[in-house]
Amino acid sequence: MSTERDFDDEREQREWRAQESAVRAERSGARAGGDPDVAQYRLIARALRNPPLDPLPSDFAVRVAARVGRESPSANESVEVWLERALVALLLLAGGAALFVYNGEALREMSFSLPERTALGMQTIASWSIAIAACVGISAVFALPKKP
Amino acid sequence: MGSSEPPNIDTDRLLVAAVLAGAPGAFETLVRDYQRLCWHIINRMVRHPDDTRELCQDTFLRVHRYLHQYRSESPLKSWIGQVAYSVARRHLERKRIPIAEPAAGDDPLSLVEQVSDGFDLEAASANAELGAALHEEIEALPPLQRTVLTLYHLEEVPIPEIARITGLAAGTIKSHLFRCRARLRGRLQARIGVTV
Repeated sequence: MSTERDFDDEREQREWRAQESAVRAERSGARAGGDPDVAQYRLIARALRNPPLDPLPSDFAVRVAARVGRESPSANESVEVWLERALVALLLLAGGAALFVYNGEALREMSFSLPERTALGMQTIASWSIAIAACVGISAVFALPKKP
Repeated sequence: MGSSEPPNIDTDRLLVAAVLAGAPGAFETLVRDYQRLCWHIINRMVRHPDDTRELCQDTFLRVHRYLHQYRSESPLKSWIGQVAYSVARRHLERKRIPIAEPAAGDDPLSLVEQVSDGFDLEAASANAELGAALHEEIEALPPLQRTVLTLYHLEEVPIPEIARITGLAAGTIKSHLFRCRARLRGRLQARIGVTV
């Protein structure tokens, strides 16, 4: 990257070489040489290595880590996950109990309420297909990873 | 980065795994390793200590939230730098502060005179007035240019990594470096006279 091939003009190439020589000299702490072009760029490089920055607070890392610990959703999330699992288990248990108590009567009654397969027109099938595709599409959009 | 050696890909991977596993102190270590880079990027962009602190915290909160998306193909330094840069850029955009000056067709070398005589670097460096003037010129640069110069000169981030952090082409970064430094040299010469 530090070559001068990107510059068409000879003077620009020379200037880029002087700039990069100054960078290398400042990084290595070399003694001042005789090239005044490089020397001027070394003065600029020196200033750029010491910009007037506001000081970083000494306890910054501790504070940020503490804030992350406070705001971390992991504790709440794990409670939610366990609550969700408990509800699903309860639902399955209740379903099993209902089957046991009613001995399949309820299922047979439910099947009577479904429309006959022959009665399902193309329009109904198309409407349900679109609705299902829309649901899947919306869920997929929400499941996409977010940018940091 | 702290005073120790910069972390490499392997140490990055281990650190990320430790943070994701919730290892005690792992996230604090990550912040310590990269707080300087984050601070420099944001402070150069926004130049306000309170905003810098807030935005830096916001950066690390985002890093923590999205760390599971980090893929170790690129250094963690670039990834965190990218988050810091985008947080600062959004802040400036909300405040309607231009990030970079519009591309001008001016020749940055038009201000630079060819030096024929010697230049006493140490004498010029000891000149506090000259140093202050140079810093004034650097501060007058747009946020993007200031940040690129700081990443390259102070943080010693290579040009391809700066390109990754800022989302710009490497050629654009090189052009910013060249033009800004040439312009600074022109201004420096105007203050000191062509020869010192």
